[in-house]
Amino acid sequence: MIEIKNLRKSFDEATCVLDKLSSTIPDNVIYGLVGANGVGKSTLLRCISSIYKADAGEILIDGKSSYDNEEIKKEIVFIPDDLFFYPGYSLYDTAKFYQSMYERFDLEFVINAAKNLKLDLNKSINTFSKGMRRQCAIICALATNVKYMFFDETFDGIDPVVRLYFKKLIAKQMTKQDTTIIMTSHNLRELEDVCDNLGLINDKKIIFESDIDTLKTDMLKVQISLKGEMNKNTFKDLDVLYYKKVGRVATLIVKDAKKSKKYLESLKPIILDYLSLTLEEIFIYQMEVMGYVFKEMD
Amino acid sequence: MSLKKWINFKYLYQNFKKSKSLFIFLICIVPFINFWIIGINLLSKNYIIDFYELGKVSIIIAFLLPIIVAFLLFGFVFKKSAIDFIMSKPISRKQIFISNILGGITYLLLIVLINFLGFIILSLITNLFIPFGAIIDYLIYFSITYIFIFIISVLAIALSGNIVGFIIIILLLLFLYPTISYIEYKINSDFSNIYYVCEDASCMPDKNYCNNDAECLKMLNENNYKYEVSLKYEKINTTPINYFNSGFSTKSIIKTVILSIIYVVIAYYIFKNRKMENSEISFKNKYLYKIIKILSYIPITYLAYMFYSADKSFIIIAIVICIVYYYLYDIIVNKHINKVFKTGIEMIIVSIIFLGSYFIYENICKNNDKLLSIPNEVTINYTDNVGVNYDILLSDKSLINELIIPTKLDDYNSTITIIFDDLYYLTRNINANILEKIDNYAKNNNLKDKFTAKNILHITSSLDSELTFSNDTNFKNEITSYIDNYNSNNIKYDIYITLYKYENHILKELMLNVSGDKYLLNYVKNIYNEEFLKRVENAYVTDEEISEDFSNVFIQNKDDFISFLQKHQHDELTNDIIILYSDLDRYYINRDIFLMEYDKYVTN
Repeated sequence: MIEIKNLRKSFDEATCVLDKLSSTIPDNVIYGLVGANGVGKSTLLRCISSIYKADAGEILIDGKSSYDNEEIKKEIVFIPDDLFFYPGYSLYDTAKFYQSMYERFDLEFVINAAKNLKLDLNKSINTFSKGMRRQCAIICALATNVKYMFFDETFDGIDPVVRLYFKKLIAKQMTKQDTTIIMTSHNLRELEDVCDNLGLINDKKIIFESDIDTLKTDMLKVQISLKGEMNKNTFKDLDVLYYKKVGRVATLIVKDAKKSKKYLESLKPIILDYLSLTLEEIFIYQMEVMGYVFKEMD
Repeated sequence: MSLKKWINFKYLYQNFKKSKSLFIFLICIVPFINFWIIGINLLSKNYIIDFYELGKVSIIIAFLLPIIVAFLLFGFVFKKSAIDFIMSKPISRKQIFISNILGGITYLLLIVLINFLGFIILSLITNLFIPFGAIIDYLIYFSITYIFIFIISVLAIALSGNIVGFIIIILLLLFLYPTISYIEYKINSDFSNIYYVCEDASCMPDKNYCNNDAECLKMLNENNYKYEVSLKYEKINTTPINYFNSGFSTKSIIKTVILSIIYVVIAYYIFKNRKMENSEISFKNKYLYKIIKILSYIPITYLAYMFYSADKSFIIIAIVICIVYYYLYDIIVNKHINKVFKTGIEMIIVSIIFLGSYFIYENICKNNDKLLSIPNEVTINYTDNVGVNYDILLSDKSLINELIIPTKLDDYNSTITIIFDDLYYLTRNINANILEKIDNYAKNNNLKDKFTAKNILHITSSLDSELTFSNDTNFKNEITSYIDNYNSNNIKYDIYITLYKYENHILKELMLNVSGDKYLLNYVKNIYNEEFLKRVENAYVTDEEISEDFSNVFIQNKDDFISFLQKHQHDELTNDIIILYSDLDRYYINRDIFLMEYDKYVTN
C-alpha cells in the first residue's frame, strides 16, 4: 500500500508543484493519475520513486519511508515520460542491466515479448523509434516482477495495436503478481479501460479519487422531455451535476443512478434516454461540482 | 557490516560497461602517451630520470583524466532522463556515491600502476637510469594527485547542474586558492622590510650589516632584525601543479590527502542531499550562482590589476577585461544577461572591492614591517669545503638564525640555499666560519654519510666554461679546438666522476674531480670507453698535464677513487654499474668488473 501524507514539493520559492497532497493507493490496483499538463503528475511519481526528495510530508510504501530506501526500491520500477537508455545498449543489454538490479527479473519474458513485438534484441535501442523505445522500457519494467510499477505517460507514442498488447500484458501482470501500478496520463480515455482507480491531480493536490466502477455506475447521463414545462427546478430532488435544455429536450447528468432513474420514470417523460458517460465527462462534471470550472473556448 | 550496503558492484560494473570503449581507450592511450613522450623521447638522450622527468606528462594528464573519469561515472546527474533511469533503480545514493568513488579511484590507480610498472620495465630494458625511489615517488604522488582531482571533480558535479557549472567549479576549486596565494606571494615578495624575532644571543648579526645606518643599528640593539626575506612561502604551492614544479613534497602530499578526505566527505553529503530536479541548469540556487561568479571574478580582477600595475596606461584594457568577463559569465552560464544595468552596478561594486583590496593590501602592507618567527627547521643546500654538494636538514635554531642573517657583502666566500617547508628557496651568502659550522653540524649528525648510502657512478667529461657542448656539435673538433686553446692559454681541463643517488625524493649528485689520475683516464680510454675517448682523443691527459696545479682536485689519485669504491661496494646500490658518459653517449660497466679490470690495468 502506498500512503502519501501531506506531501509538499517545490522547485524554487515561486514554483510549488505539490502541496499538502495526501492519498492512499491500495495494493493490487491500477491507479490512473490524471491531470492537465504541468500539474505535478510526473513530480509525484518521482517523489514516490525516490528520485526527488519531498520538501515536507512523507511517502510510505508498505509502511516504510520510500526515500532512498534500497529495500523498498527493490520493489519499485519507474518508467518516466522522457526515456533514457545507456548509449549503445541493446534491448538485451538493457534487460541484463535490469536483471542485475532486480532479483526477480524475467529475461525470458523480455525475449518473448521482443519476439512478439518484432524488436531486435541486439540492436542499439537508441536507433529505435520513439514508440519502439517505449516498448523496450515497458517490457523491461514488466519483466522486473516488482510489486510497484509506475508508468509516466504510459502509452505515449505507441500505436493502438501494441497499446492493446501492453494493456493485456499489464492485466496479466496484475493477475500473476499482486502488483500495484500507477499510470499517469492527461488522456482519460487511454486509462479508462485499464485502470481500477482514478485520481485527479490539480491545484497541487489530488482533488478527487475514486474507483472507476463506482464512478460509472453512480452517475447517469439522461436526455429527457416532459409533456409540460420543465426547468432545472423540476429535478431539484435529484443530485444534478449538469443541466442543459435545448428546445424541449433537457440533458442531465445526475448522481445516484438508481434513485434518479426511479424519480425520472415517475415523471412520465415523453422521451427518456440513458446515455453512456465517458470517464472524461464524469471527471469534468465532477470537477465542476467541486468548483473547478473550465472556461469554454471562444 | 555488509560491504553490499556501501558498494553495489553490479551497478558499478554497468556504469563502467556503458562507457567501456572510452575507459579502455583511456587506459591504453594514457600510458602510451606517457611512455611515448617520456620514454621514447628520452631514449635519444642520455638522461638520468628523476621524479620531475617521470611525472611531467602525467601532471598534464592529471588535469584531464580524473575529470573525464568523474564525468563518465557521475555525469548522469546533468541529464534529467538519466537521473530518472539511475535514481529509480534499487540502489541508494550512498551506494551510488561510494561505488562510483571507489570505482573511479581503482581505475585511476590502475592507470598509475600501469605507468609505474612501465617505468620499471623501461629502466630494465633501456639505457635510461630511473631511480627506483623516483618510481615509488611517482606511484605515491600521482596516485594521490589523480584521486585528489577526481574527488574535486566529483564535488564539482555534486554542486553543479550542468557541464558549464561543473567546469567553473573545478577551475575554482583547483586554481582559485593558488591564485590567491600567488597574489599574496607576489605582493609579499615585494616587501623590503621583514623583521625576525631574535630569540637568543647567537642570532646577533654582524654590525657591519647595518653599514653604519643609525636606524639599522638601533634595530639591532633592540633585537629587532631587519632582513630582506618574504615568509609568505607556506601558502604557495598548494595544488599538485604547483608543488609538482617544486618536486616531491611530503608535506604537500599530506595536505593533499587531508584535503581529499575533507572534499570527499563534503561531496558525499552534497550528493546525498542533492536536489536531482536541479539538473540541466548551471546553478539553480541564485546565491550559489552569485558566490561562484564573484569567486571566479577574483583571478580576473587580479589579472586586470596586474595590467594596471605594469603600466598605468593599460587601465582601459583592465576595465575591458573586467566588463567582458562579468557579462560573458552570465551569457555562458545563464544563457542570457539578466538586467544589464543592475549587473553593471554589481560589477562596479565588486570590482571596487577587489581592486581596492589589492591596492590597499599592496600599498599599505608593503610599507609595514613584518614581524615573523624564525622557522625551527629548514633544509639547506650547500657545497662543503672540498666542493661536494649536500642537502641537509638543519634544526639548530641558532645556526638557522645565522644563516638567515646576511653577512656583509665583502665577507662571504660561499653560497647556501635555505629551503623552507620544502618549497620556498632563499639564497644567502655565507662566510667560511658559517660554512664550517654547517659542516660540523652535518658531520656531528651523520648527515654527510647518508649521502653516499645509495649511488651509481657516472663518469662525465666536463670542460671549463669557455667550451660548451651540445648533442649537435662535433665533439671531437670542439675538444681539439679546446686543447689548442688549452695548450696556448694554459687553461685547466678537468674530468669528473659523478655519483648519483635518489634520496629524500631528490636526485642528488656528488661530483669528484679525477683529472689528476692519469691511470684512471688511460684505463677509461683503453678499456671501456673507446667511443667516448675517440671523441676526446686529443684531450688525453699526459703526465705533464697531471703535474699542473689542480686546485680543485677532490680525488687526488687512483687510490682515493678505488678506496671510495671499495668502501661502498657492499652498499645496496640501485644500479651496480658505472656509466661512462659523454655528451653524446653512455656506456654501462659493472662496478665489480670495473674495479677488477682497473687493478689489472694498473698492474700491467
